[in-house]
Amino acid sequence: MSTLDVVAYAGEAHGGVKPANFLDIGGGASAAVMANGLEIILGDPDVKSVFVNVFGGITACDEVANGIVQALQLLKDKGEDVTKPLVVRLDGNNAELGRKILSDANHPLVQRVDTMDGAADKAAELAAAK
Amino acid sequence: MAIFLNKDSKVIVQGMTGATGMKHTKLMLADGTNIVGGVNPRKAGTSVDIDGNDIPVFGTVAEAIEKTGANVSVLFVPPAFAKAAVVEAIDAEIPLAVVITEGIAVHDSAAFYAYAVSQGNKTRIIGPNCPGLITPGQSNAGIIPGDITKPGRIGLVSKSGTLTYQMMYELRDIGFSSAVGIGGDPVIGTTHIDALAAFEADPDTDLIVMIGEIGGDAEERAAAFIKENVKKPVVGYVAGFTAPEGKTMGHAGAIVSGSSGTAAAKKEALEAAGVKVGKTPTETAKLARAILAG
Repeated sequence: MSTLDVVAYAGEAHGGVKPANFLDIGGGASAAVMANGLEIILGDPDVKSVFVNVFGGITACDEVANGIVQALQLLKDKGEDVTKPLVVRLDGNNAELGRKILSDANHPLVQRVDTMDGAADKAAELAAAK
Repeated sequence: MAIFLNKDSKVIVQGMTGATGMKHTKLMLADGTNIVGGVNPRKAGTSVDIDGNDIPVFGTVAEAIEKTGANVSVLFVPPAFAKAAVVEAIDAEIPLAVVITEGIAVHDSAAFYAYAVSQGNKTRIIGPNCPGLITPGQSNAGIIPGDITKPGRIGLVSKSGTLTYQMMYELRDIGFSSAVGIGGDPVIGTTHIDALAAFEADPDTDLIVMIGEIGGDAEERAAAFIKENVKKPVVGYVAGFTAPEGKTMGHAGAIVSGSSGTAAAKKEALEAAGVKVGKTPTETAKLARAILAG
């Protein structure tokens, strides 16, 4: 919910873009939960960019990162043309591993920003540019 | 000294032998927590080897207390069985019960909280639906990652688990006396006020960070308490300024109904009590930093 606030504040600096929706993946989310969530979010026509903000306690960041990579692959396999950029910020439980998974996957739509405020600003900037 | 939990705390885990219980018992042990046993009626008399620690499993909380002198219980019991487990802990008069479980029926939480009160409030309940509490360098009772920060002089109380971690991370170089996640359910045991009172009395805490969110009036009541009773500096953060009315946001208790429970009203109440309130977690950390720097 704090993420929603930070994105809204960041949006004020980028022409007033606002969060289209909010999806809480919950504690201990697996890669499958992350992938399903992302599929829903990417399917919303109002969404121009996606901000994935995780500070893992129970949730492991490598699971989140794998979920992101899997979701993008799944959508590609279904023949869907995903063009929306994703900004990802990972901290906490297994953050280093999660960041490495994203770096290794090197997906053109995924950007990593390592602070919450910085990542929200990037997500808002990308949404405003669409 | 810290609050509620220290190096002398003897911790048992109700629900230790389940997958989540095992995972987090392992992590708590790694953080130096003195785990003296688990409770599972069906596995009583056995023991579990966790990273070379032989942890006995007892049939009841009362038996675990009798055999080990345990004074803290951490509960990872599934929602349907959580009420019975908390009631058992209350009957055994354990001083602190930390209920991690998410998804307990509000009616059940109300029932076990009322029961604790009716039995003379001998058991402090933290949670449910909370990350527990940590006194860095001494003991960790719950699921807060132990490696975010070090011992220090900031006290933290928060409704949100993730924001507990975020704030500990923002101020990791300064460190914390204790950090307490009280949970985001509509009915909880330990409140902001309980933690504020304990931090005010704790000689090892110099500044208190309080994190709230939309819904209910806990922050407004905390503000009134601070005005009358807290001399130490308090910095606050309230999540949900941009939350739409009438929608539950992540936590069951986080909902704006009509004009009550809004973030703006909470911020206003806290500021009227002399609390500096940040717009984002990062800004809140900066406010705390500025106060500590004098």
